[in-house]
Parts: sequence; structure tokens; C-alpha cells
Amino acid sequence: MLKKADIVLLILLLLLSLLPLFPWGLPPSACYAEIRLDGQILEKIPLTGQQGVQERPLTITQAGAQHHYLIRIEQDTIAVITADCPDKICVKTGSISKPGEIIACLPHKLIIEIKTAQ
Amino acid sequence: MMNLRTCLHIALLTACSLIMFLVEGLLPVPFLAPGAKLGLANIVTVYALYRLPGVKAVFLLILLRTALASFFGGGPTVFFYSLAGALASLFLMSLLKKSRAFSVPGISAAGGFAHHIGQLAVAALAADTLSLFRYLPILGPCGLLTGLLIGLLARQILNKTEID
Repeated sequence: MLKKADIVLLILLLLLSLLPLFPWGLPPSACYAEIRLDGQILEKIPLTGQQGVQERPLTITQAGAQHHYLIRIEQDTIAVITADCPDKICVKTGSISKPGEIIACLPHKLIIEIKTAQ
Repeated sequence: MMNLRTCLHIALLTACSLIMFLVEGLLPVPFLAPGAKLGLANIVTVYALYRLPGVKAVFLLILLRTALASFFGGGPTVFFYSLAGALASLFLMSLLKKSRAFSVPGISAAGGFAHHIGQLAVAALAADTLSLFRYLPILGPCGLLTGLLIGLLARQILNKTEID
């Protein structure tokens, strides 16, 4: 089956893939969602202390074409509800709430990232 | 210049892996994380690593496969992500193979892992945020597992095709 060297290699790579879990395990402070298009900040939406459900459209212009999203902010989470991108990965990602979590819509280079206030 | 035999071998393997890519697109696979997939076409890559003469030939195979695959479904964005993944994977696999310490499934698993690292690196560059690597705790183990399965299948095929 597998050699000993294979198993050592597999365990090593498994540990390596868990590495990004560590620096982000801090207790939450005031969070906001940052919406970025191609690296440029479009909007900052405060999430901490957010009450009820709020849905808002987001229209971006990328390479001359307009793209439409519907974003839902619920309690202190944010999610993309509808999008007109080809793969819909941003919609399938679901809602995010913890600092460092992101929703990425790579076809349009749109990133929603949770950040802390400081 | 490579000989006709190698050219034909590469052409056949490219066709093979394209079919696998298209068949995989028909399989209902649950969505785990962006970029996670079975990667059936990589059975061909692993096979080629052991049967084609030299890494250059495998590189050519990968280039053709990725370009044609993104032509059939995906588009230019997907092309760059999958090419980065495939090249990172080829790089690590050929290194590990050279060391002679690892078996086919182990090398393939490491290749699956490297595929995601390469893909994430290009995506992080394109989106200008390192936070995409937050997907690594899901994608890494996914790549290892699918790579391991691909490697087991590839080994079966390698064992049954001792032709030369």
C-alpha cells in the first residue's frame, strides 16, 4: 500500500493545510464587511450590533459591463443572495461573520471580507 | 525535438484527460469549497509522469489539457487558476518522484495538495488578498484525499500497462 515516507508526507501536508486556522482565532471585536472590487474599497458595512434583516442591491462596473448582486445583512452576518456571475461560487459560499472570512466572486474580482475595527 | 512516438503518446493522453475532464463535469459532486473537485483528469497526469520520457513532455501535456479544458468550459480566468495549480502540482510531483522515497499514491496526494496551493496563490494575487488562504484548511485535506484516490487508480493502470 503506502510506504512509511508517504504517510509522513501526508501528515506533514495535512498539518500545513491547517496552518491558516491559527492567526485568526482571536475573540471578535467590532466587525465590518469591506467590499472590494479589484483591490479598491467600494463600501464598508458595519456588522456588529446590526439588527434585523437588511437586503440591498449592489451594482458594480467591471470592464465596462454592469453586474448586479443582492446582498443580505442579517444580525452580524453578510451573504450574497443573488449574483449574475457565471459560477455562483459567491452565492454558494453562504453567510460569513468572523474576521478574515471572505466571500470571493473571482469572475468579477469582487471580494467581501470581514474586518475588525482596529 | 521529441520523436513521433512521444508526440503521439502526448496527443492520446491529452484526448484521454479531456474526456475525463468532461465526464467529471457531468458527475454531481457536492460543493465543498471553491476549487475543490475530484480531478479525474489527473489520473492521466500521474500516469504520464511515469510513462512519458521526461518532465518536459508531461509539461506539454498539461499545457494542452488545461488550455483545451478551459475552452470547453471555464474560460480564461479558470485557465490561469488551473494552469497554476497543474504546474505547482507537476513541480512537486516530479521532485518527489526523483527522490525515489515515495510511492505513486503518496506522490499523487502531494500533487493534489500542491494543486490547491498554486490555485490559491494565483487567486490571492488576482484578488490582492492573502485571506483566500483561509480556504486551505478545507482545500488542503480535500486535495490530499482526492490526490490519494487518483494515485491509487493511476497505480492500478500503471501496473496493468507494463508494455515496454
